[in-house]
Amino acid sequence: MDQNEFTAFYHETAPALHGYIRRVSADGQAADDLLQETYLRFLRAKPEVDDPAAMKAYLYKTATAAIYDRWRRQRRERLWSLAFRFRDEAPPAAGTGDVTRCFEKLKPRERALLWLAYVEGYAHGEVAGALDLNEKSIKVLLFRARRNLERILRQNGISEVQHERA
Amino acid sequence: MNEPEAAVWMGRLAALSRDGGALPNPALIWWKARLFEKQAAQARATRPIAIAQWVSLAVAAVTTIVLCMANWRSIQDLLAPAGLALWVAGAACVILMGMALRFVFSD
Repeated sequence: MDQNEFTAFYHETAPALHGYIRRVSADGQAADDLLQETYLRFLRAKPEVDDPAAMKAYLYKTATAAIYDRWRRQRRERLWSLAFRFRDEAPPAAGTGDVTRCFEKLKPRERALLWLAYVEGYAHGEVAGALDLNEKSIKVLLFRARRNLERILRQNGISEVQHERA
Repeated sequence: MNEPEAAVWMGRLAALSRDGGALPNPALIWWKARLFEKQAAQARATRPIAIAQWVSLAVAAVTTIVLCMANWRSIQDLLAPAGLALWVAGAACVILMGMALRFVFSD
């Protein structure tokens, strides 16, 4: 991949990837850094894939790994500083609305599952590949994530969406 | 919540995520990647030199310890009448040597 190809690939994938990183990491301030880190890892790895869809899937997998690495680093720092309570997820960023705040209350893996399945439109196999999970477990995990999202929306007084029939 | 409802909520969230803010410059990312490649290649090329430096330091340290142990009686006899001043001077030499080694081996 030369610089022109990379630039075209970047312009095609970066806006959506930035949204994914921002929502899954729940840290808007770190999203730019994580986006850069993702593309740097992508360029260093030089994945041998020609299919654009496969390249995009590899990119999301790399982004997820970068987010998880950042959380592990933050967790280690919190343990050392003793100034923070130990938490499994990153501290939620200030959301721009009720839906955002509700989404940030989900577990990180649930956020990633829902985003990849319903925003990016990935099939279960692609979601499993991006998150290093067993494909057979994706359906159940998505069901649980939807259930948790519904519970959180109800707890925050947000009414259910009425599904409009086409 | 069924799948169509989830898709609606997630679509709403995705729309909120498109804040139109400026993204990092791809040229900057490209050149950073090239720089890291060059640094990695340089580190690979100079690795044998770094290994040789550490091996020579280890050999020097072991040799010093062995010689001191072999001649400990003589060293004790030499230092006994000297008193505190010589011990302080010896400690200062060791500290200065350590600082010099740190300077030499730092990148």
